[in-house]
Amino acid sequence: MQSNRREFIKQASVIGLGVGALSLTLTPTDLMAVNNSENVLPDVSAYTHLLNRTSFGVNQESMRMIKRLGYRKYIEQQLNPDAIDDSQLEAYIDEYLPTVNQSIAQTRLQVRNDEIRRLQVADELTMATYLRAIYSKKQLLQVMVEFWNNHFSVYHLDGPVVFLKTQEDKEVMRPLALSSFSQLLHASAKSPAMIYYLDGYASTKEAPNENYARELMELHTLGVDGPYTHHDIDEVARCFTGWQINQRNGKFRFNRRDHDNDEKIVLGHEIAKSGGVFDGEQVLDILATQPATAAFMAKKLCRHFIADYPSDAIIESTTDAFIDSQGDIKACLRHILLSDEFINSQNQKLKRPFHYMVSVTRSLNVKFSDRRSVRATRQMFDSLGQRPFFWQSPDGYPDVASYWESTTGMLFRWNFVNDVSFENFPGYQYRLESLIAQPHTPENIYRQITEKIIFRKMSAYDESILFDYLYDGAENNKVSPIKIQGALALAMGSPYFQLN
Amino acid sequence: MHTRRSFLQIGSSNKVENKNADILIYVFQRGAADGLNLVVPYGDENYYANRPSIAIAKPNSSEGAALDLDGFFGLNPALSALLPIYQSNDLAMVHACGSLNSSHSHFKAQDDVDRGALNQDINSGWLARYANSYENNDSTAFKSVALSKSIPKSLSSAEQVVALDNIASFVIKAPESESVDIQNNLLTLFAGATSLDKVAQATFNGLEEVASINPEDFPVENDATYPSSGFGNRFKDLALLIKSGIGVEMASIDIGGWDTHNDENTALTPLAQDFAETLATFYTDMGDRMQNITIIALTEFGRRVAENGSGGTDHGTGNVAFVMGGSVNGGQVFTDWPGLRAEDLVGPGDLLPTTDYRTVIAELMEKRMNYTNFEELFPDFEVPEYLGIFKN
Repeated sequence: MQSNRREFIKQASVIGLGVGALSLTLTPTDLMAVNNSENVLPDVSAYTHLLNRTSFGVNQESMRMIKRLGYRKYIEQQLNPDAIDDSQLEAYIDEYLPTVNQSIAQTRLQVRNDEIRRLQVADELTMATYLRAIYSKKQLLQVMVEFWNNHFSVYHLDGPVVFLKTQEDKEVMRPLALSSFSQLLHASAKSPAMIYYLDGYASTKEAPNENYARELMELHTLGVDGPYTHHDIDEVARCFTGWQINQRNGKFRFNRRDHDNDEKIVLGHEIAKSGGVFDGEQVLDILATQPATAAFMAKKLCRHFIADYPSDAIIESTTDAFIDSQGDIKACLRHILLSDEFINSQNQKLKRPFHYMVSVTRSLNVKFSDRRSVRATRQMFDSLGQRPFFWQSPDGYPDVASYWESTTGMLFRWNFVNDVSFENFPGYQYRLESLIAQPHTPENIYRQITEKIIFRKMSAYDESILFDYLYDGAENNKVSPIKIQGALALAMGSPYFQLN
Repeated sequence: MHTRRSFLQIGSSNKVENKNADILIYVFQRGAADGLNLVVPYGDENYYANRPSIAIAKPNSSEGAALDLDGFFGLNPALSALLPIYQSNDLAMVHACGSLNSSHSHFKAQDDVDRGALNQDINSGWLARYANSYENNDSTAFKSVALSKSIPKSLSSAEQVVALDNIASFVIKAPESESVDIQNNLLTLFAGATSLDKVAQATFNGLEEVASINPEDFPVENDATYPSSGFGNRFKDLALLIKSGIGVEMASIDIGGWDTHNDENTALTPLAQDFAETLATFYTDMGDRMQNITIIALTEFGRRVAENGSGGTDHGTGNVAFVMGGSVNGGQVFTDWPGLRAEDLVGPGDLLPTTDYRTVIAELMEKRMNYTNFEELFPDFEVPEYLGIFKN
């Protein structure tokens, strides 16, 4: 009963439980004592839910679009990103983040000539990723690019990966994010960033390196409990010997001299001798079509889009969708997004830090006024523990709330949203007056927050918290700008905006 | 203080009490620290045969030589800050320590050590299982503290845990006029019973407690000066938290960067210095409090006995562990030394771990933490006879 809790809190503040340096009216323990299992957040609309999960945050533009197209057509529109125009954004990236689209050779030359710093190359890709997540109209594409960058995770500062990752993002992840799993797997296997990161470049017939072979099966395809043995790892490693990086142009190169051309057996399949580069390609085909791979990828997609621990039923039906479509990513997404389990999965995901930061900037329609924003953004990614391409081990950033729920994590989320809302975040600006229209009465502000910022209603009780705050800051029924900013910070700092 | 503390208590439960346990500090050297170059088996000729270019010289033989510990092992000179503690019998090492079943993958091996188990079905950390096993009536939100941004796996599933990157930044940022309102209102917006609500409540508990500490009341003592490194700062903050009486019962601190595949000693020397000077400073700073503080430092696995072609070492198995505190039977290197001849090694040429790391933890838990539920703590490990590392 919401009202009971409200009553308790009122009484508590009257009798003055507030103690301590911060004059908190209540201590968390008191609230836990009230402990209402009824504190279930009210459902969001189906549109908000779909946008929450298929974008980096609902904003007014995306809400208008889905209202115009409807649920299914919006999904189809997003599954066909080539027809969506992002040219303004891409022109901006081209101009201000030039290394994102130029060749490795050119970037290397500029670094050698001290025209740009090596770390600037990393920063530019990080910022381009952030800007695309914020401003792109191809939101589902950006979500899937993040998904695949994380599935095929490499560490940005691992030697030449700082250059190679830019190329991989441009040539593998973006163009293929909505293609088929098999295409992505092949492209990733030949991606120099991956070849360097998992030591494939040093794997020769004399000394095959197991690193890629192991992670290929454990993390990219079959899963750690998948049907493979240590012997399979040895054999797969032999198949990929000679898969190297062309030092001149940073592209894939197959070095026949370092390749073990004898026959191998992988998961019971015979790989005939003298296969050359075809050995590894056959391995990828075998792995891409294993039922274990379908199940592993289905679970991972369901975890990302539905819930940390999706039901067996939805994993199984998604596995079927994966197998029936030969790993077609669009088909899997359609299956998931149109399932009842998806529709009923409201509030079950916690936004990860990157998603959270992007969604704040999307809701406020933040513009970046100067380069201070680059450093401050990078530092905030680090404080929250999720800078793109910065997970050091090959398993990628965790996709379950339990990893991200920590006191420091919580605090930095609040501090980010406070700093941005109160315009204290370096280089971030937004226009309060165009975001929240006059008149600035508490009612009108609250309505706009639910309709334009968090895109959902609050419970009657939580609504009253926000109202009380706004009323306290109103004179003649007009709320001061700093209180409006505070209300934005509260709404976006609350579970209504943290949970997805 | 007393009044407020009563509000911040965790609450009542049926759990056992566990008074008089030491404060346990768990240090994780992430990246696989090279135990053979930190605590050098200079008495084993095969050490030098295996490491022609990166071995640490025998004591008194040259500049940069090892500092003798017991006639067989020597300390890397970069760890010299630890020597006086060793000599005053408050520091011991356990060599050829580790897990026979260790993976050669950093993240899998770290995960296994943090969980204290190989069985993948066990998701919680070993430290969390201990933390959840008891509850004192004066336990606070700071019962277990991770000096880090996120909760390390070792404390995963702990019922009460504060992750605190550093004290100075552990404060909510808002304009002064709005600060109190924002906090009060956030607190009520997170008043539910979900795990997110609980984390938010713990955050407010932590914020309030930390805000009540005046750092000037708890200065660094005994003329100690912490290194200005991340590791140093974390121990400095931890010392302050312990002194303030905020209620730290166990803490976890990481120090990374030990993955020395290339040009090993160039990377290892400053890192080892940071490690040693930080621990030594903490020891000095804490003074008599060290009688009830035990530090254990582990790493995920050791490094290959033979050096590689780039003046570094690859992933191995057996390693060295450090234990420090007033309760340690210090001044010795505990080991059942397996030897470094080719036939003594395991896997691709690794030091054989003759003492499982869990044997060390188990003895610590029984003798210093009053805890013996090893079926819960290490479900797939049979605890053997103790080595006698800790006093009762």
